[in-house]
Amino acid sequence: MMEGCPIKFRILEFVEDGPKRTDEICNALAKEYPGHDNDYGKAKIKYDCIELASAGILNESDIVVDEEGIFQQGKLLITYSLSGLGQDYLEYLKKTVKPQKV
Amino acid sequence: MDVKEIRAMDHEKKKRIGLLMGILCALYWGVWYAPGYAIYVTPLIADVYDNMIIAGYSEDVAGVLQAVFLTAVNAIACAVLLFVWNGGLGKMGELKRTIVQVKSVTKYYILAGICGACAVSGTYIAALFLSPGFAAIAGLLYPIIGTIMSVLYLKQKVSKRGYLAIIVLLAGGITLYSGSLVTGGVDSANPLIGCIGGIMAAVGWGFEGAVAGKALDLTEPDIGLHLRFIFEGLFWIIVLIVLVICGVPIFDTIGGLFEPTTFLLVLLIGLSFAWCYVTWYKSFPMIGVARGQAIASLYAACGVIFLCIFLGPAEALQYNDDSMWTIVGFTIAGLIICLIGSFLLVTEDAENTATLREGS
Repeated sequence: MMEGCPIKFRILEFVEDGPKRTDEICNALAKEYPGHDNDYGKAKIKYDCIELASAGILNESDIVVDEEGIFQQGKLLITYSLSGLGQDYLEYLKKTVKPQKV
Repeated sequence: MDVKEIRAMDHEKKKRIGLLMGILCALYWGVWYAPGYAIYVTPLIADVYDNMIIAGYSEDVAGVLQAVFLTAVNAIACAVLLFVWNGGLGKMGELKRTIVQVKSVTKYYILAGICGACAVSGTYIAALFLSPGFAAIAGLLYPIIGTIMSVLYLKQKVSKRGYLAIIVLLAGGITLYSGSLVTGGVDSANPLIGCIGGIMAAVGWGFEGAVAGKALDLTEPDIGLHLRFIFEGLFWIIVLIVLVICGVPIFDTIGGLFEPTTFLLVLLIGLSFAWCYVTWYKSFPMIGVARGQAIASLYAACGVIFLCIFLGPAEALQYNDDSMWTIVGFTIAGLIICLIGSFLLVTEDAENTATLREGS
């Protein structure tokens, strides 16, 4: 439903069915959004996740250091899930979003 | 290094980015005062006032219309320059994706644009009808409204130290400009219009922060502020067209825009104001609306410093031989209080800003 919508909308929908780790979110969404399947695009999506967590919309759990370089070596891999506020925002978006043709 | 240490470093880094954005906002806002004052003597803005007087409007109406015209030029310059900014960042796709979501987020930016239009025109009106010092003090009250709104409406948490830092920063900013009010009072033919302008500035910016903060939960800051300027620009274009239809000669000397010095000044106010907003909006998701607005209120200190650099201290602080020591004393005291406020905010525990709302 949120494909082709602003990236933060899509992140909320993407983690709706269960917690997802930084690399899963960034790699999957980078392929969906044109021009994002590169380091810069993925970093932008990661920054969106950080902002969503900062706002209390995503909860953080299972934090590990990326020793093997799965995503960004030496940095944290964080598992994100929807918080109560995130659930409310997602419900709000489902009622108000204008679906896009992808 | 274990996970706990890296996580603490991440939180510290996030807080520092937020505070750095707020300080950069204050710097750009302070810089903006230099071209913002200089543009008043260019044909583009000065002739608008003269045209109104020649057309038979009173000095008060001519002053308000001049402020409206200048605010419109400011907003349109910012909106145009931000296309270059977002284009350079590769975010034009996200702008297109966001602008169509009127029901979910864009409506908040329309509101933020109108609140911002009210605030910027209000500050010009207050500066014109009372004094630049009064305008700055009135503008400085916006973090009070912003803080109340961020706590009540956005449900963002602010620590006791955060509240203390906000109060100290505001006290510092107000002290900075109090010297001119204490020594000279306010000499104005119509102080009521100036007071209304001051209230417009404080209320407009305070509400803008809260409304934009709501939409920033779900959108990118760079896109959000660009939308806000696009809508403010459109709002002013509609207002100006209505004025022209009503026979107000507001565009009679618009050709002055292409005079090289004027064009450079328009570019400078656009660049400084646009970047000031870029950094203002970027600070909100990192440290919250209340802290972001408080640290950005250092613009009062930066404005004084930059005006002293570009205009000289006597012109910038508007003192004479009798009032020099009082005004300079208040200014230095204000700067010191601002530094104490910034120190309180910068040394706040990074865990307080790790998440801006209580966990759920």
